[in-house]
Amino acid sequence: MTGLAARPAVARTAPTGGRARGFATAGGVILGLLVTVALLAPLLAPYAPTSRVGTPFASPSAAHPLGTNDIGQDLLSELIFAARITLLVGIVAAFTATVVGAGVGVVAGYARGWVDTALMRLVDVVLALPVLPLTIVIGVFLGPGLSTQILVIASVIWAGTARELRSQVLSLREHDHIQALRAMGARAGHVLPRHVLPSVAPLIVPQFVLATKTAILLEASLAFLGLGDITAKSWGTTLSLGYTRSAFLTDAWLWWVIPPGAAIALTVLGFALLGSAFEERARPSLRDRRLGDRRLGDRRTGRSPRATHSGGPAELPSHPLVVDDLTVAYGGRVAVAGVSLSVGPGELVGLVGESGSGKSTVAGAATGLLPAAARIIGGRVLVCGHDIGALAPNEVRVLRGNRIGLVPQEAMSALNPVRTVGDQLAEAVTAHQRLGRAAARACTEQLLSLVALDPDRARDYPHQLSGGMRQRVVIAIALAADPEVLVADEPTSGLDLLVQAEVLDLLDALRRRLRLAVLLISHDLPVVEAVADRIAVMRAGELVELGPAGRVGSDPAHPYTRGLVEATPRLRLPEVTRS
Amino acid sequence: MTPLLAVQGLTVTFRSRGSGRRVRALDGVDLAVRAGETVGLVGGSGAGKSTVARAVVGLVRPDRGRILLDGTDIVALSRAALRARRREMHLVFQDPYAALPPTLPVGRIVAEPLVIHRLGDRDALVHDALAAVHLPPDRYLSRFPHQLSGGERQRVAFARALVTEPRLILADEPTQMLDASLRGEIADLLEELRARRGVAVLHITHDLALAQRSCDRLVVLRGGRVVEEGTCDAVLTRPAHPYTRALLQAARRLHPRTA
Repeated sequence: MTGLAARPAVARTAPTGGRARGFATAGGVILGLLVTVALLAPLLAPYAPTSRVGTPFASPSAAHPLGTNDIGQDLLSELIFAARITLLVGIVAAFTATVVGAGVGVVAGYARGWVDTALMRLVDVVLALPVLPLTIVIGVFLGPGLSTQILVIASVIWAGTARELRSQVLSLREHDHIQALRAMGARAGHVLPRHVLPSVAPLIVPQFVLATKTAILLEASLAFLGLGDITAKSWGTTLSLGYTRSAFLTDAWLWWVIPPGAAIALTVLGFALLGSAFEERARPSLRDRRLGDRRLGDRRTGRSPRATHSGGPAELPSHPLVVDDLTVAYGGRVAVAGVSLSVGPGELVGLVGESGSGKSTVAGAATGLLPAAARIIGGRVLVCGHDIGALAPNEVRVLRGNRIGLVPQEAMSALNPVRTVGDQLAEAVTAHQRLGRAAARACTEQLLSLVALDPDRARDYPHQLSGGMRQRVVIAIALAADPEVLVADEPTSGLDLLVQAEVLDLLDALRRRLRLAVLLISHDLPVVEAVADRIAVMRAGELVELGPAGRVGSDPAHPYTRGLVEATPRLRLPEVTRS
Repeated sequence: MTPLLAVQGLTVTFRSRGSGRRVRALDGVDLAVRAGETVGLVGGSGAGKSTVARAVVGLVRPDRGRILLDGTDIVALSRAALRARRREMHLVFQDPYAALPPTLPVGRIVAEPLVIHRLGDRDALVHDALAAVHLPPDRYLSRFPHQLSGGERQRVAFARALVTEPRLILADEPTQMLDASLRGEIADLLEELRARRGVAVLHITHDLALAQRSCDRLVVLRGGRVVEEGTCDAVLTRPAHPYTRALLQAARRLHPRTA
């Protein structure tokens, strides 16, 4: 999928990717120029920065393009040489801070326990202290000088990096592949350098670049306050000297104060641009989403609809859900090719297929919730007679609310963890009809008893419910608007055996009681077999089999279905155990 | 005969995040796995099945109880001694999409336990392990996890488990995240490893049909306690505990054509 997504990004400039690249280029050019100037300072500067080469307070002239200062030193040369000091202090301080911060963050996140507590309280203290007064106090205490500046700057900016990385490592640590290493007996000395650091490295780079930006600003402030090294002038020192030596009394500030100020601003801008470009690169998910929107509008990538028609029974157009010769493509890749099936009122049709077979795409098309990158290029989906593909987005939303209910895959993530179940149900009810608070509550209680939950559960939060109860709540939400069609996408995956049976029984009972047309999507053939009237089997985007559940399960026509039926482990039990 | 793995009175509690109370995940669990035997640990979600495996490999610290590997209590061992003994067992995780490091090629993933335990002749051992799970080494060594299917990834995870030639593999719902048609395949692989290499397996699953396919004995766990154990046939045909009966009933509901 990622490989496919990447290709169009190269052909056309995707908006976010292009912007990130533009930022990176602009930042890179600015910083490249500054670094070159700093490195080549002895060649570029017309004079030595410390020698008195002109009259004091000379205005700009051909010999001194930026004039001279109060003791006749050339200001242009000073500006060029100061780039070295500013960049040196900024980069060394930021590097130190990033190394310390990353070290502390990684160790705290991985070790946890008292190490984590001790380190993070220290980080909290550093983050809570006011930066500028602290730097001044330390600076005064240690005396002016470059090493003081570096030490002071590094010691106030490492904490942000530490906190950022700790939270990353904390979550990374719980990832299975890190847990697997620990289970193998790997010590921290093995896991941290080989597995944790490479994973967080893409985050460290933008942290460093942005820290450099902060360090340069802090350096300027410190130098301006007189804590810089007078013998190695940075831009901040130049500003400070200009201020104390009365540059503002004459026009001298125009060429004494503005150029170093502008240089600082430019450097900070360069680092900020580069940093944000790096940051965007570290979160590629953002980029892919935008890409999808774009491809949606590009009609040329679509192929002509395929005319394959599977041999299902003739569909009655009056069925609540009719999928008619549906073809869906992601970019140039056809995910669903000419699929036709229908679900009648009170009927439960199971759609079985392995991951990548296109079954979830069919579900998405049926509910008008296709991913942004997908497009219907042939056929149609009729819900209660309305062609979903031909409707405007807000009309689809109304239809989705009133006629189609969706039971999404994971009950825990489908529910809002900080609101009570009753609240969420009431919200689903009032989204579709105007109701007073009392009426909404009555409706909520009715829905809960419909899915066989105690109405008192309305006051509970999702985490207080078991997995099965949560799935019941999700089903209740799907039923809130009294739909005619219910699409359930893997409603039992992740639930244990007892609960799976419970949820399936509930769906089975509901469709009979409410005459719902249910499309049940699962990769698990036995799950579908247990409740479905008819079973549709998909493979690689095509419908390979559609027929009554008993026939498909016991006498499959297509070789693929036969393989599927045979590969599924069956419980073999003698009759006597039935109790 | 001393069993290979004996868990005695294992009790594990977790501090609940919200209230700070201690929640008991395992309560006096006893179970044993003999050398070369496959034991199925079954039960619903939240029964504590995974916690047993995680305690055995040292990811979770037990509050009470002993975990005997070949008669030595590994809970009481020093960290270094424990690390050395971990090479004799390996935990295969449920989700092959998450359990493999995404940045390393298959060859290096499988070699990882050898690097951790500083064992020699990596290339030969990695080749053997990949061959044992039916992944031709020359085709798979340099591929990355994202280029593999779920079933192939789980095979890589098993190759990594085999490379140190452990005597015990703990498999935590190894088929749960796989498509239905691959489940039987992984169960067969487990069976084959046991038959060919004499590896003992603790197979954690909630799928009774799958357990029946590969296990000699079953241990039924509910709410952190063992409610029933016995040979696979005995437990499935003459369930003594009501919970086991309920599990069987549900399994029958989900497998309508149970013979």
